Amino acid sequence: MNPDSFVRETFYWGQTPSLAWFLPLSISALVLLLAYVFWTRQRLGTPMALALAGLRFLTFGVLLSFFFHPTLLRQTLRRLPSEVAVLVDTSGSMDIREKGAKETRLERAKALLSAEDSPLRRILSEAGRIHYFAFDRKTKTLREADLPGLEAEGTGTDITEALDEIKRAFPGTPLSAAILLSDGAANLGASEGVGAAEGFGAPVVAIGVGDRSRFKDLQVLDLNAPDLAFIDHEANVRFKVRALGFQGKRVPLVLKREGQVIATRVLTVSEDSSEQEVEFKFVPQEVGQFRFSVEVAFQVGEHSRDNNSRSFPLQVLRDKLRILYVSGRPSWNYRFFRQALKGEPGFDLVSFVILRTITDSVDIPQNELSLISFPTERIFTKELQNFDLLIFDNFSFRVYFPYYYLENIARYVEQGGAFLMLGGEDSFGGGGYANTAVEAILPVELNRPAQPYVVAPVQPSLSSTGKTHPITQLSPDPEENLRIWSRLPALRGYNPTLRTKPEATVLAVLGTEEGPGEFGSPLMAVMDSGRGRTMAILTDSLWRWNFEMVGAGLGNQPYLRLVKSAIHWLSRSPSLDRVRLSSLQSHYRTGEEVEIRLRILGEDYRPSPAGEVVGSLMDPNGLQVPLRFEAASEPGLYVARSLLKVLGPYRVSAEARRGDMTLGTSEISLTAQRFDLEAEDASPRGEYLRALARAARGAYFEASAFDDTSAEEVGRLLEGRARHDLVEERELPLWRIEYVFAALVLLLGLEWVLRRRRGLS
Amino acid sequence: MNRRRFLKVLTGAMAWPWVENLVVPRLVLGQGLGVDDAARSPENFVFAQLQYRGGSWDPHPLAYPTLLQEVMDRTSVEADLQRKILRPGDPQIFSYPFLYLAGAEAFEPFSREERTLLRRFLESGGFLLADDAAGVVESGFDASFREEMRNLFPQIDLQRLSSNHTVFRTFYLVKQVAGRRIVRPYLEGITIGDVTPVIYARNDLGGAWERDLAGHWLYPCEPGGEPQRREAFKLGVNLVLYTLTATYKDDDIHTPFIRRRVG
Repeated sequence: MNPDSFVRETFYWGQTPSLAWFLPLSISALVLLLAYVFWTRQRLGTPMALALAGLRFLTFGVLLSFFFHPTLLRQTLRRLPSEVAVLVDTSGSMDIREKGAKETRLERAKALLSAEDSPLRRILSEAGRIHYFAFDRKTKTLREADLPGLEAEGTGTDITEALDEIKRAFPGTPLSAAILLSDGAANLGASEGVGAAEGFGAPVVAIGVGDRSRFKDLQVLDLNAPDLAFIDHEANVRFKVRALGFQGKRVPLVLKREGQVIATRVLTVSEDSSEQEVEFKFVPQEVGQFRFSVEVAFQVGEHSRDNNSRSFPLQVLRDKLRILYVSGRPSWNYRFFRQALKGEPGFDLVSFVILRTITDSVDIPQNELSLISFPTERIFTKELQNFDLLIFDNFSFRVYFPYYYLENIARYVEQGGAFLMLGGEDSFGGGGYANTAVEAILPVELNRPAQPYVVAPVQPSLSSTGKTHPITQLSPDPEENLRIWSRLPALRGYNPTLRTKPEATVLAVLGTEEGPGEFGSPLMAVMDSGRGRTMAILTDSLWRWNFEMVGAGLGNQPYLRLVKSAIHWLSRSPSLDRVRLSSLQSHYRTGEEVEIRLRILGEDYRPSPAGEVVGSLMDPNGLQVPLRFEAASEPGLYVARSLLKVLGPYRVSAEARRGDMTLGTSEISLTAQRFDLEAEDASPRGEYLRALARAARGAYFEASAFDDTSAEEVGRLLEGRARHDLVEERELPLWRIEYVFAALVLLLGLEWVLRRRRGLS
Repeated sequence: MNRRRFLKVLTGAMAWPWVENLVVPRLVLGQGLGVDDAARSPENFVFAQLQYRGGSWDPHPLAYPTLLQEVMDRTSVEADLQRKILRPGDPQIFSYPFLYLAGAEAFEPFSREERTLLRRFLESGGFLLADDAAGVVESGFDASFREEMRNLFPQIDLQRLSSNHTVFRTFYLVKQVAGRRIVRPYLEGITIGDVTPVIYARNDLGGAWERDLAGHWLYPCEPGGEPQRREAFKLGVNLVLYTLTATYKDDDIHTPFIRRRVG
């Protein structure tokens, strides 16, 4: 016989006994037997009666068993060589040499596999076929000869992917086991999960290299920082510090803005927990886009300096939208518009109401009046830039300031400000704005000579653009919106205008198609003017959409929504931009490819394709690289990709054009961070490897403690999973073989002898 | 073009650097340049008065034109010189956010529907000026009005307004709460949030404002005489300005200035 061959015998019943007759027969036999014992025990004595009965019972049992075809299966088998996968972690963290260690983690793993006296090598050499793999982010096959040359250069560790890859590599051949040599510092895939091991289909013998007790490192992780903060309002940054090896030590923490320290504190590393939560509170003092970072000071003996800090971009905004509201007189329009603005926590309102004109006289001393000066010079020559929006409500500038202040207003809008003119007798043409710099920025052209304010009831209606424009959405539901518009109270008058400017967008018009009187003249129109925006509402009856709607039981929410949306649109609230850049995240790894999306909405705020999209990416060195935006299948969506090669902040800008017209521009910031996954957390994680091994019904060993006993345990594990080839197989019916017949003869003979000795017949 | 607009255009042409508190001698113009009704804007301030059941809802029918003329003369408010008379349950009150409720005698309680409407009116931006015309400490109107307020706002009491309430500085710095009589030297009000939609005067403001068609005052003001009447008009002007500007004079920009003047 071949030395690798052996025989295995297995007994089985060829026919399953049927209870229908087996049970009655057995019971009857037992009853007869007991009756026999009872009957003969006085004559023979109890022991002899029992012995004879037992022999007869056995004889009967043997004969009965023949009905069930007792069979012996005799197999001649040949052991097949075991298929064992050996996975060696070659990620960057395997290059670490713990304090006091003679070799790196990878060198230790290689020694286990290759050293002459290695118990692991011995047991593997006896196991059968060994397949070597190296893995980090990806998994690749190796030859044994490649082992000495392995370098720990991988930029990530994906154990899950490695196990899946091994499973795929042996589709039809069951593995005996996988031997995993790693520090367990997984940082990709399911770095905490053991699902891949559970479904692996073979035991995983995990051998952990590295010594966590000797590993020293401080790491900033789980950074939770805001994208936006408001000037003079406290902002919070939370993060964790993971400390290995510095228990009880006091380590400084700093918060920096553009490299300048703005806050510090000291953390005493806990004795019993390796991770501690930290919070910095700070108050931004300056508006702008800044790069902030949190850092834990580098300590002597630390494994890595790279993971001691985390940075984040923070846009600091003025806390609220600042609105300057100038009203030509106290009026219900002012009263209700003011109420709406005051009720919105995001708005900061400064208003001036002309309480007294040159024609109004008082007969009391000035110090008995509460009136203050209208500081026109300060506002319109110096302070205007500090406001996000200027509102003129039925206000004629003529008696308050010279024409050239209007040029300042136009310049303010061109440079990104916003301007809203509300109607009334002293607005638009009636306010003397024809042929002024303000007319140039308004969405409507004014009549010359000015026509007086028209007093007439007129119903408003939405333009086709108004049906989708965010300002005129008085309800999120489009149908409900149309219903609300049809139920708005009639206006009592309006400012006649010559026409809407071609570049303006009309949102609502006066009158209804089916209704009587005026139809089609603009009631609400908006326009982009330079970098700013303007809006014209050509009536002073707007307050009725608040109070009369309340009276009709419809509430004032549509009015409040209209005011709020108008302010947000005018001040270019990011949520209402029609050309909008976005990226999945704001932080990327240096060298990582980013996908940048540009979404374009038409003037009606429906997705709209652009004729041309021009974009660029400015890297941290100020180098501008053009971005190639390509139209995606979704209308109005364009996608560009780029590599963030250099560490630092990037600026992405894009402009959408159609013909000569600019549809809009958008800018976003991205940050490329030094993000060496392997440096982030390189601490050996034996517990994780132990959990993996347990999930795969394998075993875990520490490399430093792997000895002959460990090797034997691995050997047993492999033995239990050994595969065999069937050389020969024979079925032996037991009733046909000699020793069964001999047993019967023996039993009957024994009874005969007993009987003879007792002198029984 | 009315007198006011004519003068505005005239002065506008001069392009004066204007300040709100510029003191200008009062221009006395002939009656021929009075209000041009045809140019009246529907958005002008309208004096709406409640016509309730029982008692006497209109104790001073000629009070409002004098007050409105005063408002027009002293302030930039444009007002309609015709009042609007409305019943408490009239849904039209939502077109007239200022309501005047006056009387000297007890009146019938408002119905539940009237109260519901009035409560919604006052909670949503409307204003009610109540004026006890009795001129005595205990009046039927006072009892009825207080009862009505208890029914309208069971959770909110009529409370005395402090001397630094906005209504005392919306135009004039009012230091005395006057009327035809001085029954109570203060105003009371119901305050919701930072606004006071109900203000109650006990001193018969209407009596101090009222004069006949020949321009003679109908009632003497006691005990202070004409200076007391002057104070009643100042308070009336401030009340109108309060309804139109609400907390404007509480804005930060005004506070230091007013504090300096008030001392």
